[in-house]
Amino acid sequence: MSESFDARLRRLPARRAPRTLAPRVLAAAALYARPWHRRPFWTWTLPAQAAFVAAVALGAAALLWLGEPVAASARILPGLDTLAPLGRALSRLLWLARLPLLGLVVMSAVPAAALASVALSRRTS
Amino acid sequence: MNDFEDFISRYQDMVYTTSLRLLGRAQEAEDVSQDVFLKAFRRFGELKDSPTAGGWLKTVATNLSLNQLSRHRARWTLFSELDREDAPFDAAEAEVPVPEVSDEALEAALAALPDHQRVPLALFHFEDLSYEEIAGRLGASLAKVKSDIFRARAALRKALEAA
Repeated sequence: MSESFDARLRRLPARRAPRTLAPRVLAAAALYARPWHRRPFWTWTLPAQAAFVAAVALGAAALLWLGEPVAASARILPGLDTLAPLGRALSRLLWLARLPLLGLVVMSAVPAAALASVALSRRTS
Repeated sequence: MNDFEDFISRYQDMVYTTSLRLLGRAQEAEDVSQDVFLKAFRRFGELKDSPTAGGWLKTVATNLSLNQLSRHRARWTLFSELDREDAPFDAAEAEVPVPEVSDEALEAALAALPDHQRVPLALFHFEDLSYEEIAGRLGASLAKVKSDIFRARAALRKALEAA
């Protein structure tokens, strides 16, 4: 009963790290050492993940809303007659897929917003 | 990669200990330690020969452990506030002798403390933070931090005397 709390706690030796820690870190580090495009999506930085999801959502939205005008201009503009069947096919495909695409846009927007907010909060904290 | 392996060997016990004493759970401490070293890996060029690498790792380990705890923080803050009965605070209490026990028994008693007592106690005694700094880091009032540390020491003493 001779030592103060402070002194006794500070005298505690460091705990030994588990043997599995170093191999786990090295395996994960080897993954991170690859170029970003050869790494799994979850290893990208949060801003990169958010940007990718947002780009996919925007791309899907653009396809959905611009498909018909593109097909129409292919029909109207001289010299683009040969593209008209392709435009019509694309337009029809987009029209048939409009609901799944809209769903994709909505579903992508939610994780994009969540990832962006996490990235921003980490940056500001 | 060999340099980084040496780097891990040199600091892994310190990083793991810092996380474990804050989190109180071995698996979570290992997960957080891995994240700490992955952050270090991305800045290894700067850290490799830096004399402050140890301090940087300790700070990151503390921050990531507190982030991990923040998921539960709202809950334990609430319960801690509920059972608070304005416990007396005495700064000299830290100097009161503790029962003589083994390191293992002391570590076990520390790990058994509830989060809202163990975390401020660990920040005060192991990380050298002041009461004000701890209150700022935990988003708690100064009175609550002092009260929780006082209660943590009392609970620890009781556990050690019973051991």
